[in-house]
Order: sequence, then structure tokens, then C-alpha cells
Amino acid sequence: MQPLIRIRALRHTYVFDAGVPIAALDGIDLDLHHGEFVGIVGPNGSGKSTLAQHLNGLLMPTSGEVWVSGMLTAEPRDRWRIRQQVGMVFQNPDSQLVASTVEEDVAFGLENLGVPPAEIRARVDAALDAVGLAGYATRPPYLLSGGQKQLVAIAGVLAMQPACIVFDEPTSMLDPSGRERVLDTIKMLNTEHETTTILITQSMEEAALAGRLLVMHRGRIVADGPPTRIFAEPARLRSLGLDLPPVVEIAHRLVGWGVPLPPDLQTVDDMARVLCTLSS
Amino acid sequence: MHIELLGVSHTYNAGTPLSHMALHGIDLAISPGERIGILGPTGSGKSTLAQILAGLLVPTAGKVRLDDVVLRTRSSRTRSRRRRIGLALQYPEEQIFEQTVFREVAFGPKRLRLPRAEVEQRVHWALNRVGLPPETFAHRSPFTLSGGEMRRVALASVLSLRPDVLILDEPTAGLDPSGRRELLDLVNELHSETQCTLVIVSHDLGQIVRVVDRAAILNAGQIIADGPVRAVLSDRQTLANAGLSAPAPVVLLHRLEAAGWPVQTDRVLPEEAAAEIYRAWQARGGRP
Repeated sequence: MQPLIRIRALRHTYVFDAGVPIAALDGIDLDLHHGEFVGIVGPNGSGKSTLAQHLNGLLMPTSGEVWVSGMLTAEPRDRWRIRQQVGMVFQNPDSQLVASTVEEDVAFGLENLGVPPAEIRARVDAALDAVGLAGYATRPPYLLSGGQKQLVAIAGVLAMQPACIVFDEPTSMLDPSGRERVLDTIKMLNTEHETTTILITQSMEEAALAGRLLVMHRGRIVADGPPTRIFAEPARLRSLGLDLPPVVEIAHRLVGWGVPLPPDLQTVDDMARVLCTLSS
Repeated sequence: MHIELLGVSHTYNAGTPLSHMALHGIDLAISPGERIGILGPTGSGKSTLAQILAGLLVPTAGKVRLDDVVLRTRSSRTRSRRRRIGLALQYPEEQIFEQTVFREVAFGPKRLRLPRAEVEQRVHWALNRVGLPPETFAHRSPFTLSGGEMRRVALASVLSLRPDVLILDEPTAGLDPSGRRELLDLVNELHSETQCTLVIVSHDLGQIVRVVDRAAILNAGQIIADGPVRAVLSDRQTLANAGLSAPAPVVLLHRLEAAGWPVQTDRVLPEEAAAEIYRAWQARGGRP
């Protein structure tokens, strides 16, 4: 089956005032498949957000190609179909909401596409229901918490029925309870709606939720695999400016001291269960 | 400087239909040189409290005392005290506007009408202090720097005012793990060098223990816990009441304690928790 998104030899250079071009992406080859949950981590400036903006043609390659469902992002004719296929949710919930009520905000993209009113109603209701904000349709967004605003932004993308949603650090401005609700929603969309999910994050705990993890460094993908495999090389992660999730770090230390633990422990629950079953 | 808040409440838009009480009856005393974290969810009043502590906002009720001076608007004594407090807001790099790093960091000291030599000396000290050597960075445009470097320029701008009290609102938000660690190391070095009072507002509970000794939890405008940082961070019930979750190592230790393991639950950092679990594992007869 052809991948949902295919990237070949992608380079992107920015030119700053000094006139020296800086390669934000320096040769990316990547296939993203239907239904995958892909985490992207990397230090500040490694190119994560630049890559994200290539996934639905918000940026054009300096060289190389990005294909979405067989359409080339550089092709102006296909731009709106590509953006309907791949939705984006950004970091700051306040800069993504445009309308005076929650439902108008969620309907915004559909109205621009000229979807019939009855279908807009149905899609908006379904999207708000999916993110758990069914009772909030007529509220003004500015009265919502940061986490709720982020859920409204997700509903707005969801109403477009995209095949893929790219989340660019969606929780970094949220408090722990808002963060938990947003992450639960992201996981649910991936498992129940089979939405292909790309999650860019600074939190290794969040990265551990993905089925496949990409590590970026200086505009390149330097590791690509299941989180357990990536976390098995803590020294390499640290040299790339990254950390292990706390539970994984505890497990690595215990294993180093001779405690017989399996190599793939990631959650507090698994860790507690395994420790308690160790023969004593 | 000794800071004391007595019965402080703050209501935004008081007397209008949009009236909103952000802080309610806060009593808080912070001693000179103390390192305290103010923790709480979004909307708990953290940033309002930070602005009141910095003297930027005069509360609608209650008293703020800095040493022997009760803060009032427009008094010269208030102004002179306030100058000794430095506040770095959330995402401070968004407020950078000068064309060079030097001018950005010099902005505050120039407004204090300090002699030029002193301004220069302070800028150099502050840039060195945040790990941006002036010979390399002073003449660069702040906008060509990385996110972590811009954050440090913003911090240097506050440091150049030589505050006795440094208030940082979410200092590590948006930084990558190594940037976060570098910034916290920097704050620690700064504290041991200058002995300034440190107030750190945050909802990143996993790392705060690296930089503060005391923590207060704010929820719906009230302080619901205040004590040694490890005790506060291992009190899962109080954290949950405030909509915060305990750091993962603490949750794991609580789980083991409930299963009968002889563990202390206040080991907040992964390395501390690992050592504690290893000790308990051996006490239960585990042998490597």
C-alpha cells in the first residue's frame, strides 16, 4: 500500500538577515503510513516544526519532494485537498480560535469549503462529542481553560475529517490536567477513529505513547523506531540533548545495578507490577 | 529583602459583571535568600501572585510589605523597593525588541540612568552569567539566536538590574530537556553566587525540586499547601485536589509502598527514586 505521506530528499533553508542560509531540514527521507502514531522529538532548532509544516504544504521544499496521498505539496492545484487530508494543531490554544462561539469556531473550516449547512451541523456535533465538549457548543472560547481551548482546536480539525492530524507541541502551554485530557483525546482519535497521528513534543513521557518515534537533530532524522528501542540507548539520547522518561530512567538504573527487569518498561503501572512480582 | 503578603486578595474588573477574584486571602512570608516554588494549575492565580510579588500589581485587598515598607502606588519608597525585584515573565523572549543582544540587556540599566561604564560592566557580567560570552554574542541580533539562547538573553536583561529578588514565571516552558537542565543549573549557580531570593512559578513538578527548597501550592486563588518541596510534591492527595499530578517517581513509590515495600515516598527525582527502590529491593531479600 502506498504511504499516506512520502518524503524524498527534503531540504528546507531559511535565510536570515545576515544573508547566510541555514538548513533547517537537511535531507529527509520518510514514509508515514495510514493509522500510524508517530512521535517526533529533538532539541530546539532540530527542524521538528519545519518538518511539520511540510506535511500539509504550509511550507514549500527548497529542494526534494513531499507527497500526500499521491499529491505533490508543491502543486498549487492540490493544496486545498492536501490541507483537508492533513490537519494541524499548534502549541498556543489562544492563537488558533477565531469565532465567538465554540461551534462557530469548529464550523469555520467547513463553511470555507462550502459544505451544506445540515452536514456542517452533523460534523460539528460529532467533532465536539468526540473531544468531550458536547455541552460547550454555544460558549465563547475565551471563557474556556487552556486545555479546553486546545480541544476546540482539535475538534475544528476533526470536523474536516482529515486522514492525518499533526500536533505540534499541543500540550506545552497546558497544565497537567489539561495536558492529560488532550493526550487522552489524541490517543482515542488514533485508536478509535484510526486517524494517522503525528505528535511533536518536548516531553519524553508523551513520546513514549507513540508506536514509532523519530529523533531529529540538526535537520536530519537520526533515529527511527519503536520508543523502547530508542530509549535503550540513553547515552546517545543525552548526547542529542534529550532525556529518558522518568520511569524508563529508573528502570535503566535498576537494571544497571543488577535488578532483573525486562527491557521495555515504560509506565508506572507496568513498573510497579513487575517489581512486585520479583521473587524476594 | 523580606517579603510579606498579609490577607492579599485580588479581583480583576471589580464592580463590573466581569468581576473575577484571582487571589483570595493570601498570607505568605518569604525570607531573604529563600528559594520557593509557586505551583498550581492554569487559572489558579500564579501569575497574578507573581505580579503582586514584583510590585507590578497592587492587590485590591490586603497588604504587601517589602522589608519595612508597605507597598502603595506612586510612592517613591515603593518605587525604590520595587527596583530591587526582577521579574521574568513567561516566554520572555517574545518581548525582546532591540537590534543587538547588548542593547537588549542594557535597556534596563540605561533606564536606571546608570553611568555608561557601569551599564557596560553589568551587561558583560549578566551575559557571562547566563553563558553567552559577550565577545561572541553582544553584537548579534537576538533574533538569530536559538530558542534557548533567546531565553537566556531575556534572563540576562533581568539580571542586569541586579535584583535582590528574582521571580521567574515558567522559566523552562518550551525548552528541550538539555535546555531545561542548563537553565536550572544556571539558576542554581546564580543563587549561590548572589544569594538572591528566588521565586519560581511553575507547573513542571518533575524538575522544580532541583532549584527550590520550599513549595507552595495555589489552587483557585488560595494557598492549599506550603512546606518543604519534597513533602509537598509527595502529598498526592493535595496535588490531586489542585488538579496537579505528582511526579512519576513519586507515583511509583506510592504504588510500591501500598504493596508493602519499605520505601520513603518523597524521592522526587528519577535517580533518587531508583536508589530508594534498589535499597528496598535488597531489604526484601533481592540479590543482584
